Amino acid sequence: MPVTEQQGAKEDQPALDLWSLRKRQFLRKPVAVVATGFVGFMILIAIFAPYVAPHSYTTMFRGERLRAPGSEFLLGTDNLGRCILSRLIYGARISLSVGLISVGIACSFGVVLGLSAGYFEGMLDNVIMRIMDIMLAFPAILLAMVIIAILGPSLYNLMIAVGVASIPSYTRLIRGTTLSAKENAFVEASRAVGAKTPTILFKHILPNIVAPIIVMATLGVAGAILSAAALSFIGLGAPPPTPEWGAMLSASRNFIGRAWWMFTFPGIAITSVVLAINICGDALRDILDPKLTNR
Amino acid sequence: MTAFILRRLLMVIPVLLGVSIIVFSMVHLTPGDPAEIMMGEGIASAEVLARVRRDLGLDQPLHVQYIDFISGAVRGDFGTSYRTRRAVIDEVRERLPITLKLILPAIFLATLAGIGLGIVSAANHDTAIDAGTMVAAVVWVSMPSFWFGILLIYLFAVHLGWLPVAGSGGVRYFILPVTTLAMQGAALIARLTRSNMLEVLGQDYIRTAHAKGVSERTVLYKHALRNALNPVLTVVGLRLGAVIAGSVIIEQVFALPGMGRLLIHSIQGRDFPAVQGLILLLAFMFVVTNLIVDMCYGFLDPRIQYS
Repeated sequence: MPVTEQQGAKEDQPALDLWSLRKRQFLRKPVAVVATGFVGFMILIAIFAPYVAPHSYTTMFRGERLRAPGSEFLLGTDNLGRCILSRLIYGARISLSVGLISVGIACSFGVVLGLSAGYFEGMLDNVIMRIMDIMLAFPAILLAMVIIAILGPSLYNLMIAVGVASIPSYTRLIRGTTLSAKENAFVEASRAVGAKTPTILFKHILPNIVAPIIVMATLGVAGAILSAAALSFIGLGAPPPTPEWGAMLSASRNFIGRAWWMFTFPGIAITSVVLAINICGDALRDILDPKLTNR
Repeated sequence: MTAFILRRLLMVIPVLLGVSIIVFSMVHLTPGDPAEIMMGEGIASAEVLARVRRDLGLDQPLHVQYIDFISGAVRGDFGTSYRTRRAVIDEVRERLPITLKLILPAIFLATLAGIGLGIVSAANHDTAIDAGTMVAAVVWVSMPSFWFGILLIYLFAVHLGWLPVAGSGGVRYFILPVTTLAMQGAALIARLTRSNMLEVLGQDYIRTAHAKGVSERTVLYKHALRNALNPVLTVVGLRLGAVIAGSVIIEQVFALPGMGRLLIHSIQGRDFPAVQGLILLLAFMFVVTNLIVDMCYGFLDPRIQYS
């Protein structure tokens, strides 16, 4: 009997598959857990904004301009008498969707271009990477400004501009990882058994390079939110009355001596969301990519 | 080495050509007729528009227009601003010094503060100083620079009244903008310097140096720092672009009449000659600084082989 008991004990030891190992590593990082919880909370707020916000984000309350934070308006009102808390809540929708959609754009182009450049090499690689070099000759925000100058300022063009401007960095990363991933024996094996090229690319290579892409995309969302806020701040984002956090900060500049709440709360909103996403990204990097040290 | 420099210089040419093609295409990719944008939509008569098109060379085939554009740009002629009717290059010449007064000290400050904080952090590894510096660095990286600028204005200009709120003038006007522009770079450089120092400090030759009785200071500054700084230089180089781009936003925060503010006004006013000239110049500055950084590696780290 003791023998079976021992065997039973062995089976109780969880077979440490990759994902439960990663989950454990994650739970051992309390700061990352809190940050992830905060991001989740912000996503819920963004989705349920109409139910959470005390007021509409456009209603201008008469005689309530530049009201300090109090019981009626928890975070005060702006120069037009609009509830800042409600605007921040609706603004979460904008910032998060700009972040996600622009990273989605950058990632999908980056995956297609990077995979093809890395896998086929040669002429195609050369053409793609030289175009990327040219795009990288502009600092990213400047490239986004070029795109907005062409398309005109609007919320959708902001997403496109921020997304397109970061295509080159994704392409570079994915090309590099593809170059090393395709040297694996299983790639050669699947080619030998006659797998089609798209199958090799998307079923064999892509899953193997997905970890660094996830890390980069997570940190990319934070970067995209910052870029979008900066572009809105200088008036190249969504037009008023869109409650974009950067645009709210821009409006606060003229009332800096009179209404500290106008510039304090949108700034806290941007910083806390970006910080939380950055912490998640750093944690993901530690967990998914043990080769990369946390810098 | 010479061969490397030559090849690196040659590689810049296609990149600059590509940049010029993108910038040139801006006018033609924009929905709407450039002549009409210049004269104000729906105002000018057909004859006036035709004359404007002829004056601007818009009736020429594209390749002729491009050659005109590029040969002008090489001579510093970017055309006439739609808004001010002045030569773009004259506008730039007025504003470039302000932008340089912002960018150059900011790069210097970011590098100095970043490396300094990184060394302090690494030398005090696993203490409260280290933890505090690194937490501050993470928060700083996540903070929008323009918000940091607004906070500085509130504290030092509005509340304490020590410095001017905005505008341009003597050195006092540049203290807050330069600090704001430097802070994100400083945070990134501090993080990187720290992690490189820690990596280098864990190596055998550092233990050897300690063992033979070299003082802590000498180990830190002479043995470790030198080897830790090379990757940092890469980041400083990459930050140059961020600083050039960031200056556009910081000029807006502090109402500094530099190139960035002109660029924003030009984009908003659909003033294409000005946008083209400014973007071309900013991209050129970026490409050239990257080139210089690349070349510096060889001098700083003789181990790098230029093959």
